[in-house]
Amino acid sequence: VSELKHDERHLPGEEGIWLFIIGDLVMFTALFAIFLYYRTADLQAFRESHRLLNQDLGLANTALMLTSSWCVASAVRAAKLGRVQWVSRLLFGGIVCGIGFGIIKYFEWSAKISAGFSPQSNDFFMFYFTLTGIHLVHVIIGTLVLIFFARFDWSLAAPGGTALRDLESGASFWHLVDLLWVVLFALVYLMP
Amino acid sequence: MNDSIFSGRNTLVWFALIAITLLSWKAGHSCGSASTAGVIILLFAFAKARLIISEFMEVRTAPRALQWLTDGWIIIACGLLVTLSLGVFQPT
Repeated sequence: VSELKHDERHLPGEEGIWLFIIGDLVMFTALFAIFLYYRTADLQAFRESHRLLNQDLGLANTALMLTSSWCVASAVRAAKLGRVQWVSRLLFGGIVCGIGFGIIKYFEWSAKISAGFSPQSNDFFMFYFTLTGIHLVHVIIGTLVLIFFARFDWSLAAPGGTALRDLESGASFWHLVDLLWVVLFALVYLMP
Repeated sequence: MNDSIFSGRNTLVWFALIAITLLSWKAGHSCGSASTAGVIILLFAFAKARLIISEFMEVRTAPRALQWLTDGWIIIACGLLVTLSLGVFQPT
């Protein structure tokens, strides 16, 4: 990496998307910090509530998120290699994973709500529904972005045109959604 | 093959991410101290986050300023969350 000269370095996507990504990372870090602060205040209740979560569904969603990111990163690679027929196919794989994530989240939330848990139950469930809810909004927006790029006819994309840079912006946003889930899964689902 | 879509680094990174996920799953279900397990799980999560940023987001080949910014976030966020997870700051 260090042997790359400055002019060989390449910013993936628009500057604006990176400004948004850094801002979103800072916001989620603050939310995660507040979660841990409240957890310290009532460790016993947080641990007991945490044991009620369905960790298997959390693990399945992690696998879906990581796989969707692989699909999207591979789609960007396919676009750069000029393998246009693969770009939409791989983005479609990412979309399927994104929709699968939403379906699992729906069943997970339904099970919790029908068992009588709500954001009002206690601080843990307030954080659980808020954090996974804000993240789910990101998943929905990200899936719509992927659908937009999957519908594009990549054989029409001019080499060196703006289409690839726009795809990189969308892909960077999707990877942000993935990495936020990775930290959220560790904090809310895994930490004993 | 150098120009293949699937034989590049992305696939290796995916395997590494899944492997770290399974390791942190194991850490969360071990019988050791809960706070140690919590720290291990957080460190694994930020290792995954860095892999996603540098490889999938291609920050590895991005301008240095972006690398410093994202690595700065990893260090500060990981340090902050690990410290808080140990219950250092007790609310009054």
